[in-house]
Amino acid sequence: MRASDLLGRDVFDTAGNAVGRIVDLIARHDADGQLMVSAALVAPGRRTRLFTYERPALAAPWLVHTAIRRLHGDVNEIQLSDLRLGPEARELPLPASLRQPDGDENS
Amino acid sequence: MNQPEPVLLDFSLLDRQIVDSQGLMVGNVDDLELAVTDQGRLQVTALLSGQQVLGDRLGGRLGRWMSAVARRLSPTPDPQPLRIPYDLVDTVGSEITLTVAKDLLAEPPLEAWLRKYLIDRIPGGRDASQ
Repeated sequence: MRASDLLGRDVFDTAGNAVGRIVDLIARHDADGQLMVSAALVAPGRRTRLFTYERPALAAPWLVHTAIRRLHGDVNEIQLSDLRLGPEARELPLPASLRQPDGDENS
Repeated sequence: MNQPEPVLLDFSLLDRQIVDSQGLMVGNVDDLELAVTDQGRLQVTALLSGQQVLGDRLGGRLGRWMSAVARRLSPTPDPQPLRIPYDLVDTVGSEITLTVAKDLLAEPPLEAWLRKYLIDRIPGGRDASQ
């Protein structure tokens, strides 16, 4: 899998409604120093590059904040395990352990 | 190792220049390879660089054209991108610095083709790197 397989993909809520697109992926180093993808930044509207100020809880000058909000809308950080890339959970291309955002192992 | 925490894959890595441990240009990060671990987590395993990868990422008419040119220029029918394991990444900043020298990495197919059919045929071109 490549990062471009996820970037730009539509994201859906549990009701199957589109909520936005993946505009970036957040990765953190684990204890072994490996870089693990932990969450996605999801923004409504068209896919454009972020300026990093879009991340929730990140302070930005009000003018920058206003301009970016107008450009991207509200950007949400969604954990990878909660990510739905299709109206139905089984449409996810992610591994099996990540395909069940409801915790349902059999669907 | 000097890397931001967390790392934003699109913002911090994609399209950044890659330089080796000596400061020599290696290429650009055109895409990232992700792999699923045994624990079901998504790991960034490698930087991918190459015209074909960039074409695949861009998509559309331009992307298909770039990929087609990369395939045409490649000595093999299925050109592989330059794959740099993420373990070799030292610093992530305005550019991405590796812990190894460029010579230890595989040569991208397009560069190999250009060197073989263009640079080497220029008088004195074989000594261009000296």
